[in-house]
Amino acid sequence: MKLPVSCPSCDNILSVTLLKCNKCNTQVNGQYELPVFLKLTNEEQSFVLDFFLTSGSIKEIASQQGVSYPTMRNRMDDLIAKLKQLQKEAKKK
Amino acid sequence: MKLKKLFNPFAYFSEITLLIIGILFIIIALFSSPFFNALHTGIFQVAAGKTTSWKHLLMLLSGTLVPFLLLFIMALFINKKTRWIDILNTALIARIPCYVCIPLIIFAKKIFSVHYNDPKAIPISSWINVIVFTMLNLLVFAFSLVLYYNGFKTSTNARKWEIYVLFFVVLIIADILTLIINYHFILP
Repeated sequence: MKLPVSCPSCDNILSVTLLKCNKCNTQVNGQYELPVFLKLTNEEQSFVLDFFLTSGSIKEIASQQGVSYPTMRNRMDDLIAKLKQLQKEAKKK
Repeated sequence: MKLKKLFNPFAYFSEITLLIIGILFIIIALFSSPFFNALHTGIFQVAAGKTTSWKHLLMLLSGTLVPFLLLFIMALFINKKTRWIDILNTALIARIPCYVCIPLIIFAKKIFSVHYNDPKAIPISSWINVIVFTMLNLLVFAFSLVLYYNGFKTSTNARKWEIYVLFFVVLIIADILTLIINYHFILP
């Protein structure tokens, strides 16, 4: 099951309000911000993971996905910009 | 997907593949231009005429290197990470439609030049030819323009519309500069 990160109704980023221990059923209630990485969409998360698994080689990940180097670098730049924006928003809160 | 690759090869093929294809087409144009008596006077212009092989080569190079230099300088202002090879490939690949359609362009120009002084003397069959070839020439021009646009967009990741207005201005300047270089320094 995929972890939903944005609200299906208004697209706002969701937060964690309930955590539960699967062994003893202890529940923790609160208002927890999702870590920045989890605020990314599933595709973006798997892209970051793929990038990490190729030792950070844009060239290698580009050839794996059948696209050119500048296309992959552009995708990376867009993601970096989004992460910076999310970090900024998280710091404000 | 195939159409996407045709209109934006820069997003799918490696820089080496694009460079080899671009150079290969320059060599093809170098041999086919004298055969069809075609002169690549501008980025988008092909004129009918004869000259030496060296001048053909210099004109082909000016038509590639002038837009490359201007677009690369502009690209560095937009995105410092832009690689020179991506812009060079844009300048090389975007010219291919003009090389491929040399016979078409020269044929259309001949029809025009034969009847240029007396348009009333043009028979209906020639009018149809003129219209068809003009449309095809426009398509070649549009295809080349799309390749320049997509190549630049992929290389720089530019998003703002103002940048693309400037991009077309730079392309027109590159075309004028190429015409000046070819007519004043290479052809005489």
